[in-house]
Amino acid sequence: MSSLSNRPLKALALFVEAGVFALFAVAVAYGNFHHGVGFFISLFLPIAFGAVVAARVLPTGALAQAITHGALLTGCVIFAFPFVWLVSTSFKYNEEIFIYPPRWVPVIPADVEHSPYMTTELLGDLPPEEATWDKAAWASAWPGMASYLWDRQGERIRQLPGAGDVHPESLRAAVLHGIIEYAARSLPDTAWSVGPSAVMRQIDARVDEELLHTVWDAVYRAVELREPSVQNIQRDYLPLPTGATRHIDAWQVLIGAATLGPTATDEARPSRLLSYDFAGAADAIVMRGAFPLPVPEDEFLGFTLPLRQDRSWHAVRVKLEVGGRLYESTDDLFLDQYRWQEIGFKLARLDERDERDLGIWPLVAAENQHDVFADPDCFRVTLVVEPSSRLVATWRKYTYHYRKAQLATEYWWSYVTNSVYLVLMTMIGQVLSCSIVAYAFSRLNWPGREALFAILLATMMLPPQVTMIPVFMIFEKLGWYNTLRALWAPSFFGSAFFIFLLRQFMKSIPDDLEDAAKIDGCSFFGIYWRIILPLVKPALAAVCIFTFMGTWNDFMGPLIYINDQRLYPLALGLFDFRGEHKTDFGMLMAASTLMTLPVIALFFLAQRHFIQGVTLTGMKG
Amino acid sequence: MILRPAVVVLGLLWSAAAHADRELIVWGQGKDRGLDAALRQFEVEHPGWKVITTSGSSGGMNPQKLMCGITGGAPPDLVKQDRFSVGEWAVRDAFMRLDRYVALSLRGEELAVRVRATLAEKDPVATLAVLGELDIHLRPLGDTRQADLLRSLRASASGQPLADGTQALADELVSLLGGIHEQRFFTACWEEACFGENQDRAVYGIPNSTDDRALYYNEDLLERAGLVDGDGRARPPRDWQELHDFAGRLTERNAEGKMTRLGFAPNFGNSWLYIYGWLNGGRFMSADGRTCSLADPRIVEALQYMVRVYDSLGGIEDVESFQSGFQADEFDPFLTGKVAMKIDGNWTLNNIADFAPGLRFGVAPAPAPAGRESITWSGGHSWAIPAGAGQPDMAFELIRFLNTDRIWDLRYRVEARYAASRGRSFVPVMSPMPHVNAAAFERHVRDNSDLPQRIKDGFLLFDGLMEMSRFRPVTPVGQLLWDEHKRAYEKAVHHTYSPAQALQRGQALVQAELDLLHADTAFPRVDWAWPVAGIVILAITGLGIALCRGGRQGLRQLALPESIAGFAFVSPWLVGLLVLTAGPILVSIVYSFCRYDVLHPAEFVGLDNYRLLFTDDPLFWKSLANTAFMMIGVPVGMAVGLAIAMLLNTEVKGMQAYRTVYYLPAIVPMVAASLLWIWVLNPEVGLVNSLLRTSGVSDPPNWLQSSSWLVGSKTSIMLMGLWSAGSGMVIWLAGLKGIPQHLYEAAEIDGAGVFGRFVNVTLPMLSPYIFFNLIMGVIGTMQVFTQAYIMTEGGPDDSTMFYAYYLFNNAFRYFKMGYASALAWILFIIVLALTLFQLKIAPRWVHYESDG
Repeated sequence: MSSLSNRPLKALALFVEAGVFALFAVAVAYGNFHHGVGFFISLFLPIAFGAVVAARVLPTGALAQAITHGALLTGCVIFAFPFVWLVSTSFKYNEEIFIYPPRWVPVIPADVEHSPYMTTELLGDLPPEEATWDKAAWASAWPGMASYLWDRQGERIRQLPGAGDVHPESLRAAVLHGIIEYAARSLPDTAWSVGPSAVMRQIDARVDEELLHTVWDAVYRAVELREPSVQNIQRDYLPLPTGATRHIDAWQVLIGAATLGPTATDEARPSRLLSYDFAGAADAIVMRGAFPLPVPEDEFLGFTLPLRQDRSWHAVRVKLEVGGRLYESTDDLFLDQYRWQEIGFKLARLDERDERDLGIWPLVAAENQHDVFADPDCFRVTLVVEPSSRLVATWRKYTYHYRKAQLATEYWWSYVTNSVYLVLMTMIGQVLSCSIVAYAFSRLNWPGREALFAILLATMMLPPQVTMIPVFMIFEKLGWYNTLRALWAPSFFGSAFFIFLLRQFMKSIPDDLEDAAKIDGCSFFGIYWRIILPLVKPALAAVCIFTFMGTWNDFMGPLIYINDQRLYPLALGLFDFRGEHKTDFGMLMAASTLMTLPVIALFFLAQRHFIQGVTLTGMKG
Repeated sequence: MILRPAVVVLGLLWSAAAHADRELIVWGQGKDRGLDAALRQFEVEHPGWKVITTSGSSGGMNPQKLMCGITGGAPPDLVKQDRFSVGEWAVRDAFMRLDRYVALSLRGEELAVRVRATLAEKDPVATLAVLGELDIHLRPLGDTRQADLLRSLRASASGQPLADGTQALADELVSLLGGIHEQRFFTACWEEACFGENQDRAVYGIPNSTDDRALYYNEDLLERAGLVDGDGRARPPRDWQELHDFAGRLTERNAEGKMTRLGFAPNFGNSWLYIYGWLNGGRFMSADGRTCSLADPRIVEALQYMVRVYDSLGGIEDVESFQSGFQADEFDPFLTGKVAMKIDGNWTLNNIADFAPGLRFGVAPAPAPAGRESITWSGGHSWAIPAGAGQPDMAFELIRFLNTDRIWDLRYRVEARYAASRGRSFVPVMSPMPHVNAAAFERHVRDNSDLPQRIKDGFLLFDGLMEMSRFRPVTPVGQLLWDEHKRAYEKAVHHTYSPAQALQRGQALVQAELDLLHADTAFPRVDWAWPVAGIVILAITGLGIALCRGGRQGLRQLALPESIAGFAFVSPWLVGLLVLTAGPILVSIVYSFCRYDVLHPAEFVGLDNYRLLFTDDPLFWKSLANTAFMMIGVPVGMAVGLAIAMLLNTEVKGMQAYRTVYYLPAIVPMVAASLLWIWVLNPEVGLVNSLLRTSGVSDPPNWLQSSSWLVGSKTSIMLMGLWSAGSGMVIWLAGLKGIPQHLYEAAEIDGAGVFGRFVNVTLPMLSPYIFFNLIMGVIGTMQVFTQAYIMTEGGPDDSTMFYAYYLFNNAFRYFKMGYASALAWILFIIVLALTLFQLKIAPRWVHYESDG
């Protein structure tokens, strides 16, 4: 090595390091005023120092190993947290996404053996955020406060619809928790300074029907049913013909430790409450009801079942018997909501459109058609509730947004196919064209080389927004509009960025190998193909990775050139998805995760080749 | 799951088979289940046609896509366009006039009504005559359900006596042929889609949605604060003075003085200076549209009022950091009682119905200054047909179809059904036609026992308020006026300028643009012969000079095998350069001397663009300064990247996993990463600030919400850049792997320490990569765009108005492609100068192995 370049290099090193330390200096200076801003920024410190320390003592000792691992792990925490957050958000209920402090482990659903039941999973911790007491003060005051509140409100709470069906202890705990949570929200801060009994009096005074109703909605879970309505082939919704008995009473439990009781809610829209107990026997519950048809059976398209669910994540299978045929649901349906919903079912053979996104599930003819209910004036619905273990419930809860995301994007697979195709084509194009151009720029001497290289660099400097429209017009003339070709063809002309990158690599290859080949009479292409290309494998890997990332994440190009949703790549699909479901955060995160996973997998696998490429270059010795 | 690909393939095959269908391309339409159903119905009633919708990016119509489509000769047949920009596109001849089609649609309806009347009068001759006219009228549309109906009507009308149900057929025909009636729309909606003076006035879009604004208040909080009427019920503020007063009385703070509840903030929700200006009797544009009156004294007063309210709440940053703690709709702080009052759009009703049906709230018209009447303002979308669209007849037929009462009804029914399947209560979206809203209220709202009475009242109030709605001025500079009105508000509440100064600055800018548009001086169109000739001459001279200088020896050298190989090997890039890059680049330099709105031919204005840039454009300097500041991130980013790469170059177990983890940030899609960072840097609930608070910082920075240079939005974006340093790491790693081990061994033998080896071996050997990353970093930083585009939109207070984003705004928001090209060339020259400088000093420190 020439000692000539030593001094500027030292200056450069100093400059680079000065950059790092300038950052720290700012952080520290700022930290003097606001204690600890540096704390966050200094999380970067262990990486930098870890590197230096590791390099210093690496060859010796376990200590060095430990320090290196420590530095690596610290970095991992910083660099992985976004992805961890992305994934963990995709596992959350919508209600738990924005709560503060953030939950890193999403709620694991309870093992629901009895229903109706009470839950506090949507409530915050006690004491409520608004309370100005500390935890200890709260803990000592709470039992007394609770019994005071229960003495005053217990009677009303026990009168709440459905309160008689749940375990009294859990009723008391959950409702009181809820009252505190909701009442505290509107309690002035001064109220807390007076003392427990005064606070309780104020909270008590705030309890009215409306507040109890809100609390009850948040903590009470039950399965309830109303009578179905029928959809005819013209897709009109028809109520059942009125008869002597209420249709709602047609529901009966056939098998299982469950009862169907009346609920005392809305007289105009009667409903039945399902109380079940899976604790003893874990058999499925079978419920059935036969209802009169308001239309001739050949005009029957499907039915809508108003159902209140208990978010227990138990599975529900639906069977329909109509016109002497038995139909079954094919999708996995779970008790995954806790509000009233109108779930639709339709005969898939009469209407093939995929409307699962609209909450209308297809029913297909069952294989086994024995003993089918054959009353021509009635249809019969059977609901089978299969209990799930906690593990299964967790899996179902965690994959909820993924299933929804899949339903919401009917073209998911074509997005993936398009993206993969684009990535492959652009990678091939870039690797082939850029490497050969870079070879010409770095290792061949020809007149005009320097001038063209300057032009090459210059083309990178003009922002793409200005040339977008002229380029569009050219592609349109070439007939590439609304085709994927418009997105991959340019890569075969090379890209300045990669040519420059590869040129830098090729220039740092010693001349000896090439000279030897020349003496052996190798052609220029031969040198490029046999000698240079294998030597720049790591750089080619970098080109591949950059191309992959760029193509995989590019949405502006497809946005402008692609019209047909079937030709969308994933990134544009996701960008669209964001526009359409911007309030559905969990689903958005699930879609992002699905989009990111292939890239991670590829990077993880490509590593190997990348490293092998390096070790095979023969430059080690 | 496994079947899915097969289904997709089959689907593609099927769609290929059914390609005989003619397609109607619709842009700007996001997922809307009611509308989807309506489009399917359209396809049923118009056999042989397929409607293809493309959302055109994230909710709104992306202007780049539309501009490319129109100028590139591939426009959609129909576009859903934000109504307030319809005029802007119309003045540039980008949208078709729809008057003729509107008249035709009325004619169709009229004929159908006459058919019904003649049938009722039992006058078969007249019926057949009208049917004949109708047949001619409908013929351009081809085979439709209407045509079918016509045939059966004709068949039954010619028979004697009339077949049963003929009258019903006629009724159906009338309902199928409903026309577009101007007077059936809210005046504000229709007027907003019209543009032009006097006889030039025409309608360019048919409204398809609308919204308006009013004051929401939380009754619980008002009652608790004692703001009640005689009966002890909450009473909303009646005028500005009361509003200001209530805002203070409803705002609560904890012991440390940190805001825990916000009474009212003028611009929280969707109100803007527009509503206050109008409430105070101001006008933003003169009646003839030639003069911008943004600095109208009444508007100045309105802005002063906004500033006063913010100041009395503790300043804008306090209020914004409080309200930024809430993000998606279900966390609207109004819904959770964290904000007591807000002026917001009717859509908030849907959120309340969805997420807080138990909320005790009321809606009232926005309070006006004492003695003035309350008003509201509305926006929304319109259907427009771009110039050059291939099938305007069918496109308008779709517009007409979608505006018939039966289709609105269908849409509402499907939406209601969907809401029920999701367990949500349904509040119909407001339509731009009052009678449609009345029908929707009747059918879906009035007797719906799931909907609280307050929501029903709110629905009626918003519908009624539309009658006194204002709308943003329809002007060729509408977007600029909007941006400047927003900028004036920001500058005033941040106390950068006084309200009057801020508004005057904005007014001057808008007026200058207006004057330019209305100026009578005609500029010559660009004659492309000149630039082309110039380029050809330049190229020939260049080549000639090169040949002369090279001389005979050069020619001989050109024939050497090495030169031939060199040219052959660079030819892929050279062809690409000539075909795809050189043209557009040269075109853009010509444009930089032109006034060019993309949609019209360019007009040559000489150096005007450049003169304006340097003398009269504060944003140009601001954006340049912002971008220059971002350069700090380049060396820091390189250092971090190199440090990480060196760490990852050590030989420890599990390196493969480590490397993958370190690369994660670069892999997470930008769309997701931007959401993530907005959350991470959220001043209230963000991860960074919660960490800071736990470590004892009581007043952590506001990050993206702050315009501060030291720790503000720019530093936040730099932080994001550092975090994704992993992408640069690949290059460093490849470089490190390329350093021969023997050099280190030799250095060690020479007694070099770790630092010595780093300085004497690693850095020199890496210098080509340092050089590469430095150049790329500088170029990349000068072009930093995406973060501003996705996350901050240049704000707050222009602090992330980066050069490339400003350029983008000029090109695609303000239709000033010429100006944008000038900006681009200045950028080009700056970057080129920086790069040349680096290339110049490179030989002094960059060490290439092959140079020996």
